[in-house]
Amino acid sequence: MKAVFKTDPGKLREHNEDNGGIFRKSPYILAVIADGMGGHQAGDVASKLALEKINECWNQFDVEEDDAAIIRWLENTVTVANAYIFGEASKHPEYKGMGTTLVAALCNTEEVIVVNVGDSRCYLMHDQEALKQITEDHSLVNELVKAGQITKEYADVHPKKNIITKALGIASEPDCDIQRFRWVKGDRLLLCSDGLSDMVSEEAIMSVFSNVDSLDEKASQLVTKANNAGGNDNISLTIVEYDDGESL
Amino acid sequence: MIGKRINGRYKIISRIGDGGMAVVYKAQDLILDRYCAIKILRQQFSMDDAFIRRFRREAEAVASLSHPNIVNIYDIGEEEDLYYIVMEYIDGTTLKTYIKNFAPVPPENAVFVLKQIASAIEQAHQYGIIHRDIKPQNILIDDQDHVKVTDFGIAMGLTSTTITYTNSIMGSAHYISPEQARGEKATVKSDIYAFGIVMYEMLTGQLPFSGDSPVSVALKHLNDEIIPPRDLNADILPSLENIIFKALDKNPDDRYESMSVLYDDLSTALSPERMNEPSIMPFKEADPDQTLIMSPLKENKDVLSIDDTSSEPDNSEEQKTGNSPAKKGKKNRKKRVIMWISIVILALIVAAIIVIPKWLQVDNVQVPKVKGLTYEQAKERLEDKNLIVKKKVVYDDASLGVVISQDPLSGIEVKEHSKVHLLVSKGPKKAVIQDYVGDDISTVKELINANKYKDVNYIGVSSSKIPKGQIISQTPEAGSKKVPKNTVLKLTYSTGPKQIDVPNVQGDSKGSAEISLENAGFEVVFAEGDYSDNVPEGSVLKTDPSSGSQAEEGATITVYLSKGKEERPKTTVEQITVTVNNTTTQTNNGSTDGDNGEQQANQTSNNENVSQQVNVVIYYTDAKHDHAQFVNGSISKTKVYNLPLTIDPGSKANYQVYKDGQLIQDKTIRYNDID
Repeated sequence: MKAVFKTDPGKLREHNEDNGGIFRKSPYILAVIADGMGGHQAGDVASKLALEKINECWNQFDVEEDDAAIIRWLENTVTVANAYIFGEASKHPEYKGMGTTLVAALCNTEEVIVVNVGDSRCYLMHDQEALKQITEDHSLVNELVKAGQITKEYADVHPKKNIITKALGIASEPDCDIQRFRWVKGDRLLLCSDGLSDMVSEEAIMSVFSNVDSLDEKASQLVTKANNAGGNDNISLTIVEYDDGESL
Repeated sequence: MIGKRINGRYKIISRIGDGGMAVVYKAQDLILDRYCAIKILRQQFSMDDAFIRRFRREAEAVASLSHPNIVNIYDIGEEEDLYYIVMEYIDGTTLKTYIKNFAPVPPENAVFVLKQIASAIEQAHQYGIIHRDIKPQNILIDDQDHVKVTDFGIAMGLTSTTITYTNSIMGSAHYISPEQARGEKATVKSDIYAFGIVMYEMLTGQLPFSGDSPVSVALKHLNDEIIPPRDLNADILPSLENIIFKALDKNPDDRYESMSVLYDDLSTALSPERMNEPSIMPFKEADPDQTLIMSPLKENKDVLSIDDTSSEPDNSEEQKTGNSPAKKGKKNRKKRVIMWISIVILALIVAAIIVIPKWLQVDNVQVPKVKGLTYEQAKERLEDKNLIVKKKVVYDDASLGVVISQDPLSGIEVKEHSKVHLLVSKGPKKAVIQDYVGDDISTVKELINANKYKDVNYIGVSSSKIPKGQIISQTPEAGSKKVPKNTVLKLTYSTGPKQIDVPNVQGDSKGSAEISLENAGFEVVFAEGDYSDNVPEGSVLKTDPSSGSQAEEGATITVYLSKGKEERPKTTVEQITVTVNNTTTQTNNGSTDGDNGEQQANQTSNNENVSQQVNVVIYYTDAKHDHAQFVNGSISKTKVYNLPLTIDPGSKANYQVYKDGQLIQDKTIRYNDID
């Protein structure tokens, strides 16, 4: 498996409130994207704290554990990160109200377990089939679409598309979705912040995946495309490719 | 922040409010020597230039408004990177607290309050300012029920372009209009909707839509019909219910055309003619006709309600505060003035004909004793005697609604239709309960004036999340209004993480120890422990902290796992017997603890013969020796040698015995041969 992480402040914003990373421990890869929120200083703090805690938990991650324990580890990691951010936000008035989205995918050669809070996304691309969004956005517009109040097309240009309904660090207990699915050689996983998914269409993402060889180049081109489309927000992504190579 | 001086002029006294964008403090204006409220933008927004511009522009627009029911803005400024708005200080609570304490609010009081709110919003709308965030938390009310609406247009800042792309978490949606929930721009109609929600809440004591998340509430605004207010409180007049229905129409086009139309409707809602007004529920279809039918009636109603004023005791309060809201710019003002004048003239003529002669022949009545009764009872008794009741409410230790004094006193003779002034208790003066949550218990104990309250209870509970000594919760809750002398203040503080016993897991398997410790509330890490003769390999040798001691809930317990029996070097003593005479040797394998010296065998031979000398050489190899010589000597009778051997795990030892140069024994002993 190969993986790459890229982040870019975009064109409009002075700060990069996104964070993310790739953690490796054979035969597992953990890919993470976090998109912070909370005004001037706190947004980048929240996403950074999330990554710090994930890193700590990763050090204790035991690859020998059984399935149930691994899911428990993932849930526990989210709980720990949530509690930490929530605690810091209540301790420091300047961090009040901060929070972050989180999407993380734990992959081995058989399956992927994805945990998600907020509107950062995880996509799966199988063979040359269309990009499939695995995660469900925890956002107001998505709720409105689900309730039949607005169309999917209007959701894309909705003035309140930035309103999310769940986030890490805003309550004492996190509320996350966990799902797992099998994957096979040739599959690719894309995790990204809304700075990419709002700016670049799924078709354009697919075309980059199909036409560009190097993994690093794929990531760079996606960032460039988001910036060319305006770069309104921070852009972050990780790609995990299940290839023929060594498991790491 | 407390004690700080802003711009050399405003000295911060205390913190009074806390919003998502700003913190509000009570301050002293040192130049004008008056209190003011100063709203300071949160630091995280003060770096966003576009946001600041928006904030200032809105504040300036609101500052241009001047209305008795809109909080006055005195000053807008900045100092270094502090951006602030200085406002009129209102000594009161929010309408939210008022609703909590008094809802369902009686129709007369509710209309009195609602008209002020409507009038404030109406004026802002005339200046093109949409409030966008009408909710009881943004409406202040003093103890005379005077209302001030605050935070006009400030919510606009949140949708400024630079912020739009940042994620933000969805806030409360209780007062959001369906079109705002759908993401459309807030308009005049959105304020009308929010006003309708406030009205619903005042009259019924509950919110029309609630749910476990802001999203579910927003979706209800879009999809669900409200429970008709009269189903919740039968005292609500149909006219008031109809106003709510119309304000809360899902379709903005079917709501009131403007706040001033709503205001007019509200103004006549209590008039007797509208007592039996038909319900306009269901909202749709029937609507337009209904409005048409209602409007021609309106003129009449105005007239009649004015005529009634003198006999409506509750209107006296309204007069005190002035009818200024009612005088607000109406389009048909001229028409009305003419009509009023003719009515007044007509009334005077009627009075001249009917009333004046009556005065000339009035009966005397004795004022009954009403002190101590409830206001309703008192009013009934006085009106039975054809006396006119004038009510004034004051704070008093007597309970709410009780008449505490009357003027004239009972027994005095007065003319019929004279006024009797009653002082009615509003109950004891309440104080706003301070916010103690988050404070340190020892500081609070020092500072709190325990005599102010009936009692102060401190309750310690363990918590792994909240630092020791920090106050977690309080009753009554902060901001609520209570009579301190009747109130027991309960402060619950954290005693730090719960201490729990570490269970005894010694000898348990790894898995079962993990389960026991996790069930007890600990985190577990495993570590390699020592060898143990008693605990099998992989089982628990000991824990740190050890069992029997206590540790914080959630603490990590290190579990040391046994490495099993230690593989130590073993020692054995080989007994080697070398016989003389019959030249046989005999060995005994035993672990006697005798010295490693030579020992005379007990089995002394009975040989009387003097035997020949025999030379004995013994070589040995063990952990410490490599082909070393143990013995080289001559013996003349059978002798037992005790050869000590040390063998490392997995290894072996051997020795060779030579008798007169001839190898008579070569033996190997393996580690495992030894017990």
